[in-house]
Amino acid sequence: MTFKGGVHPPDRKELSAQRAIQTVAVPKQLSIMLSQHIGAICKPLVNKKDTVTAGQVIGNADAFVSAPVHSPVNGTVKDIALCSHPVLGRAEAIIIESNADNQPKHPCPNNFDVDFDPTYYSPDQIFEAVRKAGIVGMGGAGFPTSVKIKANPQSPITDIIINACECEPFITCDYRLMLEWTIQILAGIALISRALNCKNIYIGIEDNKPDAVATFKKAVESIPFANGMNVVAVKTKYPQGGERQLIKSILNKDVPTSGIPPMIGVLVSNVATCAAIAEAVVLNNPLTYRPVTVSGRGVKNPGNFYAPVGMAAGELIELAGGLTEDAVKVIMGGPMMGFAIADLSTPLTKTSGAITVLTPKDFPKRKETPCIRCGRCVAACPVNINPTKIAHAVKNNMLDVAKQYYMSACIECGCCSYSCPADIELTGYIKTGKILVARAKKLMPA
Amino acid sequence: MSQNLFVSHSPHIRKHHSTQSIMLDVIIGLVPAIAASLIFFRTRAAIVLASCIISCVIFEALCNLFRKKPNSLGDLSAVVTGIILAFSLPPSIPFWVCIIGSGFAIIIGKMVFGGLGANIFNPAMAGRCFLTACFGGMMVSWTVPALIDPQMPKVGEVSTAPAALTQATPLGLIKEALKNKTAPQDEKIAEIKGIFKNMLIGSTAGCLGETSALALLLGGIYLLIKRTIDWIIPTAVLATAFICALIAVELDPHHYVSPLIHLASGALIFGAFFIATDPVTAPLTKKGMWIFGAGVGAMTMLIRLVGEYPEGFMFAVLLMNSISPLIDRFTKLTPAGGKPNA
Repeated sequence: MTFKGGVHPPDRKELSAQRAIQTVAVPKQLSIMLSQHIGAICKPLVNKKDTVTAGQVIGNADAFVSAPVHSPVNGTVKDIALCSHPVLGRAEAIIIESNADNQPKHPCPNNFDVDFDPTYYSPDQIFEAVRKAGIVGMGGAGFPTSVKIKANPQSPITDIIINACECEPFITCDYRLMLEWTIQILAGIALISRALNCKNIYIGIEDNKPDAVATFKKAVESIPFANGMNVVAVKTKYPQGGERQLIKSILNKDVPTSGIPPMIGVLVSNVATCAAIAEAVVLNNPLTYRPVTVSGRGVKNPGNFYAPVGMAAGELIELAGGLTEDAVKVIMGGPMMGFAIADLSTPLTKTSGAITVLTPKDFPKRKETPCIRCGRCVAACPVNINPTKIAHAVKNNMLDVAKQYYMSACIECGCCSYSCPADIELTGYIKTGKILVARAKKLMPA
Repeated sequence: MSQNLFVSHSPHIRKHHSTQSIMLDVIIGLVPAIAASLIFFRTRAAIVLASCIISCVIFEALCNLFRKKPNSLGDLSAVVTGIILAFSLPPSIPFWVCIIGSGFAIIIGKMVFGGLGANIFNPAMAGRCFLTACFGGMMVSWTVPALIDPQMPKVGEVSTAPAALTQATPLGLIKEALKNKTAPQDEKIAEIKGIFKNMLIGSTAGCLGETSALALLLGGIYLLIKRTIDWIIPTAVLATAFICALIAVELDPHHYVSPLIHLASGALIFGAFFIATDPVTAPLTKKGMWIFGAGVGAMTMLIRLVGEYPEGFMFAVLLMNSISPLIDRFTKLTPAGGKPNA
C-alpha cells in the first residue's frame, strides 16, 4: 500500500497531536485575500466603509473555475489594498474591521448526527451550495471543489479517495478533525458521493494515526449513511498525501503526468474539505473558518485552532503562546512544502492548514556543496524524475535540457532537497526553472 | 515579535547527513580492512597508508590554493581517495611512489576536472593506473604477510632482515595455471584451493587492502546497513563475476578455479563495495547501476580469464567509469505518469 520513492522526515506530531481544536475569538481585523484558490481572481463586491455581516459574499468572479470569498465576521470594510500573500508575495485583499460586540455565535460544527440522510439533497443542490460557500481544496492546492463535484457524464468518477494522510511533519489539524468531527466528515463524504453518484469510497489514513483509523473503521460500520466506505491504512511516508501518490497507493493507478485525477476517473478530497462541504450543504455556512495547526519548536504552546480566514499569522502565533527567543523561520504550511513568510501580518487563506515555526535546531543553515551524484534525490523522487540533472540544467540556464528531463512532471514535494547530502536546493532550482519556462511562454509576467 | 525571520524555498528541513558524513562512513567501513592490513603487513602497511593519505590531502590543499578555490578538505574525500589508493598498492611499494600516485590521483584524476563531483574516473584508480604504467615492476612485487613471515618487523621496529620475502598472489598462480593451456594444471589449482582459507582472512600476498575478504565484507555490510551505498552495484559486480567464473570452471575444470576463489581473491570484494560504488563515477539511476555493476564484474573476469593481467578490476572500473555518462543517458527516467505533454 504505497508508492515508489518518498522520504521519512521526523513527524514531530507529538507537539500538538493531543491538543483539541480550539475555536478562536473574533480578531479585531481580518484581511480577506481575493485570490485564495486556483482559477479566476475574485472582484470585490463591497466598497470601503461598507458594513458587512458574517457570511456575506464580499468577492466573486463569474468564471466556472473560481470560488467566492466571504466575510467571517460582522464589521466594516476598512480598505481594499495590497497585503502580504504567502505565495504571491503581495496581493489584493479586503480588510475588515470587526465589531467589538454583536458577533454571531462561533460556528460550532459538531452538530451532525448518525441519522443524517444525504439523499435529502439533490446533486445540483450540493453543487450550488458548495459553489456558493466558496469551498476550495483545503489540503493546500486550493482547486475549487464545486468544479470537482460537478458530475460529468462524459468522464464519470469511478472512485472517490478521501485524503486523510496528513503526511507533512508537524501538522495535526486533520488528525484532530478526524477524531473530533468524525460524523461531519463522513457526512461531507456522503454528499460528494451523492453529487457524483459514485459509491467506491476509500478513506486513506497514514498508519502513524492508528486511533484515527480505528475511529473511522468503527464509524463506518456503525453509521448507516457511511456503510460501505473503505477505511485504508496507508504506509507512513512523505508525500503519501500527494494526490498522485495516494491514488498509486490505494488504486495502483498513475495519473497522467500532464493530467489530473478525473482523467482516470478519480476524485481526491481532503478531510477538512469534506467537513466544510457538510457545513455548507446542511447548515448553509460558507467557508470562513478553517482548522489550523500552529506548531514547531519555535512556538511556546503548540495547538490546533479553528480560525477565521483572514486572521494574521502573528495573531494566531500569539494564541499559541508566541514565538520563542530562537524562532528563525515562520512557515505558512508544513516544513516540506510550506511557504516561509517574512511578514507576520500575512493572513490565513482557505488553504493554510498550518503555521510552522522552526528554530535553528530544525533549520541548520548550511552551504551548498558540489553534487557527488549519489543519486539519493533520484531514489527519493516520488514521480520518478532526475532532480539533480534538472537542477543542474536550470542552474546553467539550459531550460531545454531541463525539459528533456521532464521538469514539468515535478510536484515540488521537496523530497529531493530533503535527501540531498550536498544541501543543494534541488526543489528550489526546479521551481525557478518552471517559472522561467512560464515566463518564456509569456504565461507569467517577468 | 521583533525577530528577524529567514525566508527560503521549501523544504525547510533537511535530513541530517552531508557529503562529509557519507565520506566518514566510508572511512569507518574501511577500518576493519585497515586493521587487517596492519596485522598482515605491519610497518609496510602503515607507511603506504600514511604516505598516500597525507599526500592526497596535501595535494588537494595545494590545488585549491593554486585555483584560488575554498578549502575542500572538510568533505574528507581526499582521505578516502588516499586509503583506497593505498589499499590497491603492494605493501613493498616505496613511499615516494605512493606520493607520485597520490599526486596523479588528486591532480589529474580529480582536481583538473573541477574537484569532487566533476571527475570522470575514480581518482584512486586513475592514480593506480598511472603507477602501473610507470612502475610496472614494483607494482607486481608481493610481500609475504606477517603470519607466514615471522621475521617481518612489527610497526615501529627497524627491519633487520635484508629484504622482505615475496611470493605470487593467488591470482598470479591462477594466471600461471592458465598460461600453460596445453597441459592440465590440477596441481596449481590444488595449491590455490589450499590457501583459500588464508584468502578469506587475508593472510596471502597481495595489495594492502585486497587480501582480507572478511574484513572488507564487514565494512561493506556496515555501509549497506547505514545505506551509505546502494546494494545494487556490489550485488551486480559480485553476481556477474561469479557467473562468469562459474561458466569458465564448468567448461574447463583443469585450468580454471571455482568462482568462490575468484570472489575472495584480488580486488573484487574491495572494489565491489568501495570502488565501484563511488557515487561520482557511477550512474545515477537504478537500472544504470545494474548495467554498470554487471559491466565491471564481466570486464574484470574477462581480463582475469582471457586477458594478459592476472587482475583486471582497476581496468574494468576505469572502462565502466568512462561510459557511465552514456549509461545515464540510455537509462533516462520516465515520469511515473508517463511523458508530459509538450
